[in-house]
Parts: sequence; structure tokens; C-alpha cells
Amino acid sequence: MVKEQFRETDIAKKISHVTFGFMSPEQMHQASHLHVVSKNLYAQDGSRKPVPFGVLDHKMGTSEKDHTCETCGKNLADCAGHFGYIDLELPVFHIGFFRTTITVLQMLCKNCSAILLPDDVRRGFLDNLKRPNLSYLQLKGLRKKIYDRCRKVSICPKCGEYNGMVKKCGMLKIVHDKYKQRRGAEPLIKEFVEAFDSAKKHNKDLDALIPKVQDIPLLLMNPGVSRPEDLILTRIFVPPICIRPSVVSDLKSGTNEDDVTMKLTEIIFLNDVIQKQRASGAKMQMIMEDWDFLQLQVALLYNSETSGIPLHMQPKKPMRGFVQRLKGKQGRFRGNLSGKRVDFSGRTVISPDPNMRIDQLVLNGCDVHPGANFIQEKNTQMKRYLRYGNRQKIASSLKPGDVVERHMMDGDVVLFNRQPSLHKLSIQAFYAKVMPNRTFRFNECCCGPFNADFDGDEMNLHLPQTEEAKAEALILMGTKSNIITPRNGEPLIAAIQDFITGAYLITQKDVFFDRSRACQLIASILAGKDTTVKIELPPPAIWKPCRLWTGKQLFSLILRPNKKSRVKANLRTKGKNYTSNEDLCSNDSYVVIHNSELMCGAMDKGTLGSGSKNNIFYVILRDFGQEEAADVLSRLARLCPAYLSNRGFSIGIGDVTPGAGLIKAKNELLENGYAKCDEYIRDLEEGRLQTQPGCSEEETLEAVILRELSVIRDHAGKACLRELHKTNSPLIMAICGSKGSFINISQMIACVGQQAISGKRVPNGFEDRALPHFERFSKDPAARGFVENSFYTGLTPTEFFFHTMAGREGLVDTAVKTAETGYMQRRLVKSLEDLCVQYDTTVRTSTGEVVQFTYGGDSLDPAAMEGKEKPIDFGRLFHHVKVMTVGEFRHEQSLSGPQLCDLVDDILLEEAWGGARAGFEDFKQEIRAFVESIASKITKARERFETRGRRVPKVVFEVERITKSQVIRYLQTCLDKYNRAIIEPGEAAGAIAAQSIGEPGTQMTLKTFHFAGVASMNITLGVPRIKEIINASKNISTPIISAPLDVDNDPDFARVVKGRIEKTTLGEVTEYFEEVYLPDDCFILIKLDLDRIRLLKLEVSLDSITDSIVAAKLGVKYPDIRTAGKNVLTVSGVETSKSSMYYVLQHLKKNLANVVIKGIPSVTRAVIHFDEQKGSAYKLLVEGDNLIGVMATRGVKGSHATSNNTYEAFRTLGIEAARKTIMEEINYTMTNHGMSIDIRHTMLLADLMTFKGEVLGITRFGLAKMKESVLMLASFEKTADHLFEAAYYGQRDTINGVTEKPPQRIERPLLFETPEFHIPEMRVGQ
Amino acid sequence: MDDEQETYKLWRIRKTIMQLCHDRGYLVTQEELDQTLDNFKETFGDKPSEGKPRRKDLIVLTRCLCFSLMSPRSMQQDNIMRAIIVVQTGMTPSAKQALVEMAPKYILEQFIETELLVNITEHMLVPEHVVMTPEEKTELLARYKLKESQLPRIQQGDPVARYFGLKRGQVVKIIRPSETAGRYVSYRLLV
Repeated sequence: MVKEQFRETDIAKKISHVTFGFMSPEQMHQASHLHVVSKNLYAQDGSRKPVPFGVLDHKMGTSEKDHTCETCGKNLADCAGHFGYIDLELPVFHIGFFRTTITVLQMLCKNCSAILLPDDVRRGFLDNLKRPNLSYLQLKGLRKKIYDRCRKVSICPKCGEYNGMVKKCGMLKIVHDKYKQRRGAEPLIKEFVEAFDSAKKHNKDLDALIPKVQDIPLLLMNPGVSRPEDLILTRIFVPPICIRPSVVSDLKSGTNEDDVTMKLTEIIFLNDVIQKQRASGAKMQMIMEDWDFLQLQVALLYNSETSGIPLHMQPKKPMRGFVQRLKGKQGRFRGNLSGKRVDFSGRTVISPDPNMRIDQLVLNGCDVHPGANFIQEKNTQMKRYLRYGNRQKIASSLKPGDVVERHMMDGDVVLFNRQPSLHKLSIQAFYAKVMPNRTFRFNECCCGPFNADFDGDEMNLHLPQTEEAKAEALILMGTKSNIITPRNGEPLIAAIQDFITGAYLITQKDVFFDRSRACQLIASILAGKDTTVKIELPPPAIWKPCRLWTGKQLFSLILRPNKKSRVKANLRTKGKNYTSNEDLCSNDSYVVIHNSELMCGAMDKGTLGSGSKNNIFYVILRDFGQEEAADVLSRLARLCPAYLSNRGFSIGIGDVTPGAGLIKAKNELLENGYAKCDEYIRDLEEGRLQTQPGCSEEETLEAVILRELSVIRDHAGKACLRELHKTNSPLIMAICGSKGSFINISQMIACVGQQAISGKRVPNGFEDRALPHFERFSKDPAARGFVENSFYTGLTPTEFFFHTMAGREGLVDTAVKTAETGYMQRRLVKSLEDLCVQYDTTVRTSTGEVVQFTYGGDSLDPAAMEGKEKPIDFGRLFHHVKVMTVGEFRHEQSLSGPQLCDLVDDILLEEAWGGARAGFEDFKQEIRAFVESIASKITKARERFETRGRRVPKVVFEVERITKSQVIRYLQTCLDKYNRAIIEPGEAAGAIAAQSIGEPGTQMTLKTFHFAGVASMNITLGVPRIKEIINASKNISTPIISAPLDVDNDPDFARVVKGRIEKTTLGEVTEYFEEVYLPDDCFILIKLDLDRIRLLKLEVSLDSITDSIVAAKLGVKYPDIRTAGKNVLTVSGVETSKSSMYYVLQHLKKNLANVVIKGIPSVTRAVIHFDEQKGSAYKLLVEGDNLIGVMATRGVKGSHATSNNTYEAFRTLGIEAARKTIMEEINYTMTNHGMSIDIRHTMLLADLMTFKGEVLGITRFGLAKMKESVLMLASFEKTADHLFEAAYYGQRDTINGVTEKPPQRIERPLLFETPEFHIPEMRVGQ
Repeated sequence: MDDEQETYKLWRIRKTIMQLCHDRGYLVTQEELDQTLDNFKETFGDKPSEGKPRRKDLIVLTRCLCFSLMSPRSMQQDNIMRAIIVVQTGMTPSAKQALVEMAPKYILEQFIETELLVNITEHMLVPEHVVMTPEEKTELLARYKLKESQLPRIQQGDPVARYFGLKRGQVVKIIRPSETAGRYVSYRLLV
């Protein structure tokens, strides 16, 4: 097994950077071994020998095993290949640089090759260019500037020649339209142009001109590696044969040649044709045609997806050009450089095995195990197959340094992985255990991080080969080190399904065992590592009439089997069904674990399952280490199934049959609900329905009915909980949280409920109805998708159909979502991959640009957070320390409140608590605040007793007892935990943030959500919203400005402000518009609806309306408007030469209604929002994108108005506000879907998106502005474009990013200036 | 337009401008910073439609910084090198071009009225920005061993940068309230 230890290669050369550029014909010649001239592939005599100087000449390497390379003499595996070249008869454009060629020509004078810039501008730019350390992005920007400037110049400042437009003309041709725009061109010139038309067409003169270009720096090219003349090809490379192997076909005679080979022969053929034609003086037309064709073939060789090829020239079958070989998922970059195929791996179906520890994995056996397949001798490098031959002899002749390829054995470290690998926990290291049968088996507690189930899932296995790899894998990727997810520090590996059910049942109050049963059960944990563990059965809970042990006692034993165990876990927490009164909770759902003894409470998902920090395994993990946590979890995984299979737990038809009481309750619920719906419908018909703010009557009805109906199912669920017997299996599972919810039970037993399609009731798919079974316009619950039956009673046909509709929506949503989130994840990871924490606490990119000055503001690792985004849960730890040390410090005096505070203040001044780390002061402040709360509790307790008697009874000191040593111990633990939580330099903070944000995205369901309380303000949520935020879209689908008010408890004031903001048109407050024709006058009469104005609290007067009408571009002036009475305006038109009086009036009448008389024109809707939770706080929700307008409105608390559009925040409030908005919006969306993500991850993402001073999206455009590295960008998207561009600029790419390093085989890309750690070399056999 | 509204607007703008001058380090009396609406009406009148106050009356002159619609010529006469122009609606492109052309000698900054109705630095999403001196900047770069180009950036057109009238190469210290650490200091370089 001992493979050569990894050693840094001692070669003198290390790749420091990569430079991109073009090759000149001379360079190609130098790099080549062969001038390829022959168009034939093989000799014509049938001998299948490649023609010398043909494209398959063996001088360029070999593609067959039985031939060696004729240049270097090596065989297929060792020869790297050699280049050849083809001289083109006529020059052609390089397809990758076609556009660039055009721009270069546009920037140069076509006569003297000078750059088209006036002298002073030219000097200015040159000065600009002389600045050292111009970044790649700055170069690109400069070039754009110069280009724009050049395009304005048409007369060459140097030679005075007129330069016309240069543009693309047809396929792959460039035209210099010299005389097009010149006015008064003389016919003579025209003739001249015509005469040379064809010659000019292809810029034949270019060849002669360009080499003289002096202004290469101004083209932003790097003269050392890329020169403009090389943009045009006169010579092309013939790549080595090994990258375009010919395949000898077994079926038919002859060989299959690679696309590139074929294309090259075609090019040579065309070359020959052109040469012959030129020699024989063929018609120009003919040559031109062939030239075009040659041009096309060369283009196709480079990029076979060239667009704009005329139909008759299009290639018959698609081929792979060079660009196609590079780009895409299977391309060279993503398929071969960033990821590779590996040896020593396997894949098969997985299955569960609760008998395994959580860090174990079963593998299938093989022929004879353990054994070996091959032996590779050190000297000869020969492999010998051990199935045949004399194994004894070989074994005895083994020498040090020989490599035996043995089978895998128990205890080997293996990596186990399931796709999609969305986060770092998707690949973990296990200990192998080889056993019979053909599946990978592991403890089902480990399903969580992989998101695996056993319905046929397959997983992959890799076997690390060196000792370092094994050690590294075990420490960094081992299951035990990865119980916690770095997303928010919650455990992912925890009890699931049956384990929870079992633990719940065994810890019920009515579970007792006699001695034999108790011993039998607890003995089930004696396996694996625990085989010899000593179990100390505690004294029985009941002595008479017979000795009985409770299930809770057995459960305590798996936490702490004997007195020697150091695990003394403490936990006080509410369970899932907690009612009140702490430990006297009527559902026995207040869990108290006291020094690893379960005092009360039934264990359920909250205390056993994943996704909670009140989990007992989590507590053990944090306080006693991963090893202990893994042990306890394994014991649970053995005890619970043992108990459960003895007790029996199954489900039958009886479990889902409703009793009489339940049926009655359900019918009552339905009747009530239906009655209410009918009432609403009647209200609507009679126009009595109170509309919700910002909704029409119909919308209001839909909203209230939907709310009414969805409540029915929830109530039915509650009724089930009430009516069903407590031994009902589905109910038990729902209560303890192991599987299913009350809604699921309710659907099975009582009522399936309302079927929703995109958040609404079933829409009318037929004419005005959902299905033809119902009346038109029916708004009944049943007609719009309410299913009143249960799965037990069975669905009616219409109900069934509605149910399938909702089901289909779910399926489609999942299918669409997976593709979308996958891409989102990739983008996130690509943009964040190279961010890492440095020794100076900054977070920087691979080029050293600072993204954050302190990671997360406090340099703490999200994975180590015990509280909610805080390093320590003070209350829990305080309790823990108190209980742990209760016996130890029995003799000490208990402290009073003030004493406690003073003590803590003193300790916090000690040296150990010094240090100016960011956030540490804040931490100390939190400790003080917590201690003060404890102190006040103590004081309060004492006061209660002190007032009564003169002498304080001793027992009072036992209330909230805390002693000095305990406080010292507590603070020490706090400090230790804090120091342990500090993030380690070199941590790949970016990648983890990307995964932590991307991974929950895959679990988000449902597209839209309602704004709390306001039915009409729908905001986009879920994946589409996250996408919007990280793309930094300028136009988001639901922009909303939330505007608190100066006076927030007055609805009238809110209405006034609403009137100031919301757009009100004249038409909305007018009773009628009337055309009035009088003998001497004609005008439009506007009658205003004053009541309405008063009702809407609009601040308009006739004067202000007059102003608005004049301001609107209707051609009305002040004298045209007269007031007649307090609510009548007349507007007269002015006849113009263009239209008569009649039309003017018609025009006015039509457009006057749309004149905005009040409010911000871009705001169509504002809704008054009343926050019920916060009491009487009115605020406005404004639809639209005019934050500055809303902020400036009188009555709005301008300093608190926020928009959910990041771009809007950036424009009006600056980059810092945009950063904050991004964070808050991501957070809001995630919490709405019940996902918790540590704020440090969103912070890092927001910082990355804003650190360049503008909001950059995580898209290919944003990425190109964030990163400099061409290789990195090329490996993301638009591979070929980036490469060609880099070649043009002669870009130099230093190798330091995550993407760049692996292909160059440089290890550990993220560590920055860390010393190399060398493990002293171990020699085998010495 | 409604006089009341208009006066309110002018008062707010003047107030923001005062704060702006104060934040940039010009000498502004506390009295002027605290001016109430009534006070404003008293001083300048409350009938903008009748030219009381006219916009011209509201010129603020604090040691070589002014805010007005003054003509460039009068600026030359008064030897004013730097000014802020507050306009009601956006300027025409040629006007903007004119500002740019005057650039090296006379620095003219331009704001739209609506931008000044609310002081954006008081907004809850905008953390405290402090302009750093060149010495502080070099110290910062030395502390983190940074090149200038490696600092996070803020754009010239950023509203906060315009508020402080920052010049290229200046660094602002940003003091954010932080959920994790209470207070979190960051820096941005103007580009």
C-alpha cells in the first residue's frame, strides 16, 4: 500500500505565469518539424503507410501502438507529439480574431498604417499607457476609449489620407468603404474605385502595410508576443497526431480519421488547386471562389460553429474544431483540466446498515480476500498479474520499493461521495469494512449530508493512495469532523426516522422493563468499538412489587454507560410539543438532561434530529468532542431499532380509518368553511365585500376564500391530533417528528384540502370554469379545486383531476429548479472560489485584493457558532458548568448578585482577556450583560426572602447558587470556546460561503409568497429571487419600497402621504369631461369629484390642477384654462395649422384624463401597511423604482425608506447601502423559506459583489470585472472568446488561483505565504 | 406650486447643504445647522412663488465654498475656486461638458434638488464614512501590506462620494454597525 510519499518536485522550473499571444509564421516554422504538403493520407499502394509529408506523417508522432514516433523514437505513451505546418497559398483571416482585425483596421490609417489619432490625443493616451501595473481590465477600458476616439477621425493626421468606413462584408470579408461618405466624389475617383474593387476587397494591400505599424502600444497589443500582422494567417499549424488519432476500424476496411485531419487534408487540397490555377492563369473569378473556400475551411478548422456561412457552403456533417475541443462541460478546460478521470474508485448502489458506526462503510468482497492483483517492481516498472504464475515465489522475492496492488482491507480510509456534490459535506472519509454482498452500506444517520436515500441511489468511492492523503482525508474530511455543517453550525449527522421514533417510544413515561428485558436491550449496544464497554445498570426506578427500570434510564445509559465515562452532558430545552410549566409540561415534552441522565421529557426530533442546536449529540460534540458524539450516536442507532423491532411498529388501514368523532368534527369544519365562503361570494355579488388595500373585489374574494379553505385542512389536522388514539402510528411519527406532518395525517384521514396552482385556486381552464362539470363562473370551493375527501375515503373524479394538476405543478417546479440552482451554484462557486482568510484576518482574492478586512467582522468560524450566529450560548454553558461542578465546589460560599458582577469584571480585566481582536470587546460586553442578568436573578431571589425575617435562612443561598470557582471555570470555558471559534488562516471562506448559499437553494420550493398582511403585494421569493439578487439585475420583477412615516400611528396621515406618492390622474377624480360647443367658444368642461378628493385626502386644488395640466405636454397654456365655480374647470384648445379645432378638442378630451395631478408619475401603486405585530405602526409599501422620489416626499421618514432593489439602493444611497441591501434581501428570502444561513456567508457574498465599487452580478459579465485571470475566466464561460482576447492583449497570467493551479499540478492553492509542512520521509523496509 | 411645499423643500435643501459643508470640514455655525422651518421662513420669507425667497438668495458662502446659480464670471470676480450647483432638474449635456472643461481650475459639483431633500448619510443603510488623510492612508497600506489597487473601491459617482466631494486616490474609512462584531471598520479607495 505504501505508495511513494508525495514530495515537492525538485525540478528547477516552476510555472510562474502563462503568457498568451499569437505565433508569427517564423515562430511556427521554428516550432515545427515538418512542412506538410501532401494531400493524401496513406500511400496509394494499399500498404496503409502514411504518405511522407502528409498530415499523418509519423514524424509528427504516432497514434498506433505498434509504431514509434519517427522524430523522437518514443512510443505512443511517451511521445508528446511534434508539430508540422502548412503554408497557405493565399492569406486568410483567423476566425477567432476576425472582429479584432476589423477593429484594428478601423483604428489605423489604411495608407500609412499610423493610428488615426490627432497628435495631442495620441500623446495623452501614450502617457496613460506608460503607467506601470495597468491591470487587464484597465487595458480593456483604455482600448475601448482609444477605439471610440479613433472612429471619429476620418483624415489621417499623419499622411492626410482619407479613411472611410471599415466593415464586415458578407462572410469573412472586410471592406474598406473609402469613398462612401465623401460628398461630391468625382466620377474619376469612382472609376478608380471600380477598377480596384476586387483587389481592395480583401485588403490585399494590408499585407504590405501592416508590418510598418508603429503604434502597436496604442492598439493595446503587447509587441513582444502579439503583433497585428499575425492577425492574418499565412501559415497554419498541423497539430501532432496524438491529439487527432486515426482509429482503425474492425468492421470495415480503412481507418476513421479525426475531423481535424480531414479538414487539414482539405486545406492542402485547396492549396494545391489555387496554386495550379494561379500557375495556369485561370480566371480571377475561379481563384476568388477557391480563395473564399479556403478561407472557410481554415475558419472551420478553428471554430466549426462559425455562423453566417452561406447555405451552399455549409459543411455536410458537424465536426469538432479547436474551439469546440476547448469549450463546454466536456471540453478541455472543464473536462480534462479542472476535473480528471481517476483510478482506484468504484460506484454501486447504497443501502442502510444501522449496525455500522457512523464513520464506517461496508464494501463488497471479491474473489479471495484479502489478496492482491498486481505487483509492480521498482526497478523494472513491470506489472505482474498475480492470478497466474507462482505467487509463492513472487512473494518471497519481493524487494523494498516494489509496489503490491493489494485489495482494500478493513480500516482503510476511503472517500465516499454522492452527486450532486453541492457542498463540502458531499464527500467524506470513512473507514472501510469489507463484507460480503454487493452494495455500499453505511449508517443511515449519515444520509443527511449526502442527501441520500436508499431507493436505488448510487454512490462513488475513492481510495487515497499515500499516507499523507489518508491522514489528510481522515482529519479534514472524516465523517466525525463533518457532523456540523459550516452553513450555520447545526449538526447534519443526527438520528433520523426510526431512530427518532424508537427513542421517542422508549423514553415515554409508561415504558418499564424488568431486569432481563432491560439487560437484553442495553446489551444491544455491545458491538464494534463498544463490545467490551462496561455497562452499569442504575438502581431500578421501581422496587416493589417488582424491580422495574424505565426507558429513560436505558436512554441515559447510552449517553453514559458507566461512571468512568467522562460524558456529563447537560441540556434543558423545550421539545416539539411543549405546552407550559417547564418540567411539568403535560405532554412530557420538556427535556432535562442532568449530567447525562435523562430526568424528564420524551426525546423527539428537536433533541435528536438534525437542524437544531438543542440536539443532545450536538451538546456532547461541543462539550466532549467528536469521538464521544459519534459513540453515542452509534449506540442510539443500535438500541432504538432493537427496541422498536421488539415492540413492533407498523401501519395499517385501521390507523387511517377515522372514528365517528373525527368524521363529525370534519363535517362541522367543512360546513362552517363552506358557509363562510358562500357568505363571501354573496357579499361580492351584492357589492358588500370590504376590499383589501390595493386589491379589486375579485382579488379580495379569492384571497379570503383561499385563506378560509386552507385553514380547514389545518384545523382538520388539529382535530386528528385530538381524536386519534395515542398509539396511532402515523400520529406517533408526526408527534415525534420522525416522518410526516399533521397535514399529511389529515390528508390521509380527514380531508385532502385546497389544491393550489401557483399560489392560487385552480384557474379557469375551460370557458369561465375549471372543469366542464361545474357551472360557469362558479366560485364554490369544490368548483375551484377544494378536495373534501381524504385519501382513505377516496377522491371523486374532479377532485382527482385537481389533485393531479397540483401534483404536476410540483413535478415541473422540481425539474426546472434543479437545472436553475445547479447553474447558480456553479456561478457562485466560480466567483468565490479563490477567496481565503489570511494571517492578517483579511479575506483576499488570489491576486491579493482585499474583500473583507476582517472575516465576517469578527473572524469567527460559522461552523463553531453555538448560539445563533454567536460563538457561545451563554445560558446553556452557564447551566452546564454549574451542574458539572456542583459537587466539586460544594464547600464554597455562594455569591450574591453584586459580588458576582464584581468578580466577573475583575476577571475580564486580566491579561488573558486582553487583545484588540475585532469583535472581542463586543463579546466581553455580551458576557457582562449575561452575568448581569444572572446577578439580578440572584438578587431578586434573595430579596424575596430577606424582607420577611431578620436572619436570612441558609437555604436561600441554595437558590441560584453560584460560587467563585464556578464563575472562574465558566469564564475560562467561554474564553476557550471563543478562541477555538476563531477562523483559521487559510480557510477557503469563499468556497464555503458559495456552497452555503447555493445548497439551500436546491431545497427551495414554491415560487411566490405573500407579503405578510397585504394580499396584493406579492413579492418574488425562492430561487427566482435569489437569482435576481446575485445577478444584480437592474430591473427586478417586484420592486418595492418600504417607507416608514414621520407619524406612524395615524391612518389619516398615512393616507395623506399615500396621496402624495401614488400617481393620481385627472380622470380618477373627475366626474365627467364634456365637450362644450358654444357659438362663440368651445372648450372641454371638467367637473371634479370633490368628495372623492376629500376621501383620498389628496392635496390638490384647482390651482395645482391647472399647473399640472399646463405642465403636461398638451399644448395648453395658462390663459386657456378658466375656473368656473369651485369644482369646474374649462380648457379651451387652440387651433393650429396642423389640426382643426375639433380634433384639438378630441385630443384634449382623450388625454386630459391621463394628466398626472399628484404623486410620483412612476409610482402606480402604494399600499398602506399596518404591522400587527409591532402594534400601531403604519407604513407605506410603494411599488416601483423611485427610491429617491419616495425618500424626498414630505411625511416619509426619509432616512428609513428602503428599497428591495439593490441597484436602486446603489444609485441613490451608494455602494455601502447596496451591500447592506444585498445581505438583507438574501437573508429575508432565505428565512422566508425556513433556511438559516450564517450571516457571515451572506456578508462575504455581498462584499464580493460590491468590493469593486459597483454592484457586480455573479454572472459572466460581473465575473469578468472581478477577476483578472484569463484561465479562470476561460474555464467558466465563453472559453474561446477569453482566450482570443487575451492573446490579442498579450496578457500575462500569473498562476495563483484555484482554477489555474491544478492543471499545472501546483499543490495547495489557497494557502498564502504559509510555510511548507514536510513530513519526514519514511522508508519502507529499513 | 404650493408655496408651503416649496418653502419646505428649500428649507430642507439648505439644511442638507449646511450639513454637507459641515461634514466636509467647512465652518458652519451650529445655529445654521439647527435652523427650523419657522426660522427659515422668518429669515428668507415663505412665498417662493413671489420671489421670497428667490433661489438666488439662498447662496451659502462658507470659506470658499458656495452653492448657487452664480455665473462663472462672478465666481472669477470673487475668486471662488470650488462650488456646488444645485439644479431643479438634470443639466443639459453641454452644460455638463462645460463643467468638465472648467475642471482643473474651478471645481464645480452638481446636485439635483431631490437628491438633497434627504441627507443620505443619515440614512439607516448608509454607515458612517470618514475621509482619511494621506498619512492615515499610507499607514493603512503599510499595516496590511497593500498596494493601492488592492483596496476595496468606491466610485467617483457614488452618492456618498459626491456628498463628501472625494477626489481620486482618497480613502474613506467606513464604520459599519455589525451584527456579528458590534462595529466593523472597512476602507474604500475612490477610483
